[in-house]
Amino acid sequence: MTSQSDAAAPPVQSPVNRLVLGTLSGPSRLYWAIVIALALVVVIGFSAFIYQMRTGMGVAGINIPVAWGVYIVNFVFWVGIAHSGTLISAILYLFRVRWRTSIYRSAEAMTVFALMTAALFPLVHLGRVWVFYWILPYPNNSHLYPNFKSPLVWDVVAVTAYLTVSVLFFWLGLLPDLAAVRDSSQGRRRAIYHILSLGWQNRHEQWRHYARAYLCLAVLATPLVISVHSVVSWDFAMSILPGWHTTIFAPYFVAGAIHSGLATIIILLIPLRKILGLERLITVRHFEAMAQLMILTALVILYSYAIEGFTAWYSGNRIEGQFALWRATGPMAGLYWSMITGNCIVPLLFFFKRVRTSLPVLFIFGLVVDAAMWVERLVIIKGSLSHDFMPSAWGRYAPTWVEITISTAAFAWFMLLFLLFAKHAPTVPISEMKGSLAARASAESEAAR
Amino acid sequence: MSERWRITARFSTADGLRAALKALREAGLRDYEVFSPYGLIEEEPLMARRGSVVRAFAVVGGLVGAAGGFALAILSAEIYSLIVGGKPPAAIIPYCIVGFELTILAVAIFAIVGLVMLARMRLTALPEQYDPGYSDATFGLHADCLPEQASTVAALLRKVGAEEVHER
Repeated sequence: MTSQSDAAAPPVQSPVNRLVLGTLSGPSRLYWAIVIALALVVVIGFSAFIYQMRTGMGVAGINIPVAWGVYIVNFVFWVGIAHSGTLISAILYLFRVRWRTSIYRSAEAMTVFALMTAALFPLVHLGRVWVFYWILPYPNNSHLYPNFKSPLVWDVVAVTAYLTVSVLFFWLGLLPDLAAVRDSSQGRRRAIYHILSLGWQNRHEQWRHYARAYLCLAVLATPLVISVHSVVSWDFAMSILPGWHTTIFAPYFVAGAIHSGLATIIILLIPLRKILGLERLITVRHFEAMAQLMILTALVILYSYAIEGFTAWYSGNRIEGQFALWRATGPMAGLYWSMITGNCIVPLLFFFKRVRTSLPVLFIFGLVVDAAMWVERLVIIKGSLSHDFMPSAWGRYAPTWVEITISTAAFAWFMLLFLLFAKHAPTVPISEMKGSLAARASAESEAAR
Repeated sequence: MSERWRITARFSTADGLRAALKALREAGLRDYEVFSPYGLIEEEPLMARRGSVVRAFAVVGGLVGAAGGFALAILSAEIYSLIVGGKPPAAIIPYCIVGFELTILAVAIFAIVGLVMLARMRLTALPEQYDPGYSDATFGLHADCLPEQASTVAALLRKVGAEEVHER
């Protein structure tokens, strides 16, 4: 494929290349053991899904009145996780935030893999998944077309657009680095990376178009990320159920999504930097900056929770008022208060420098926030469906082993994709890191003069 | 048309490349190509071409996406004409969401297509003079000149600090 495919790769000169490309060297036995274990969990989850398809949706706990259960909880949760990747890669890029450079590649990978996980759940929830294409607008004999006035169809359009744009943005950022991997490889590996990098040659002619295309996608990704979780929130807010029908849902969902995404990137990066030896590139300062951002998102969420309660009380709507009271004091009170504690109170401890600069504490708090955010989705979905207007329509819901197995497999699927990525593509952007170091060196020499 | 010679120079720093570009422009040479491990956008004033029309692709994408999004929703509603939620079959406000999402999707796709076309990215073999060091720590300058200029240009590039200079 390439003219030098059989030639020996030249020795690497740049310390950034050496450090980052070094992480792609032969994986250890432990790596393969973890990959196999995760793949096994995915296979078990897939078997549970096959069982559900063959037996029917009755094997899941969802039923009237709670027809949306943990599958939709997982969908909303994973779409949310995806959001902070775009925040770090696109929004912080537009604001020229320097600390994003070391971590945005992993954040973008997290976005893509979280969306790939999220997109599975509407299909799992669908029941007759083999006719999923009925939701697509294509000419058919029944003259059945999707109803584009429905928030569920908006969701399909929004998530599909978000996944496609995220994959393009991820690949665009990777492009020069894939060429760097190609240039340090030989044989078949070199040919594969040549195809993936689309023959990138580091010419200025390519860089100047690349810079404009990257900026263009960053500008686009910013409104897209806000619109997507707004659309997801409208799956609920467009209905008239108590607890769902509120205008604060869109900003509240977006803030929650970024909050949980930041927690996830912290959870992923703390072990990753240790395992791949990237401590010099991903420093405690990066985690501190993310923790500071989480203080902001935690405060936005706290405000949203407070406003939900205030609106229920001050609107004078008795149904809304009794629902809010039931959620805070009824059988779901434990989940409700744990979500407030995990999402809002725990991250406020990041106000203390000692807390936000301690990696073990950050890791544990990240897990707490993610768990609380999952619980929040459960409280929203299960709460309103199980306790709506009429007591005769109230019901209960608990996930079955099938739902729990498939949900667990989704976490394994996400981790598996991330682990495979970490060993096959540079987890730190090589070219941008070199550009950023050169700019810093140049600024320092200017200042010294 | 007279035969052109190619002078290939390699530098270990961006400053060396910058000095070479200035020297070439002062010598009246404009026909050169630059290779670098990262984008040197601030060097654009020294380059033969500046800016990019990727944005034009993006604008066309935006128009196609917006028109396509609204057309998809409206035409689907016209074929399967049901009144839902008291709204007319072709309800513009909810269709703004479809239009918006497809606008962004099409802009992104068109921008990438624009990049691939404008940057002439191909899966063909890399040119012989391509140095793998260009994605590592080497800055390259490929200048085309008349045969009688070759030795002067090569000497100029050596003078400004090129680590390697090849003429062919």
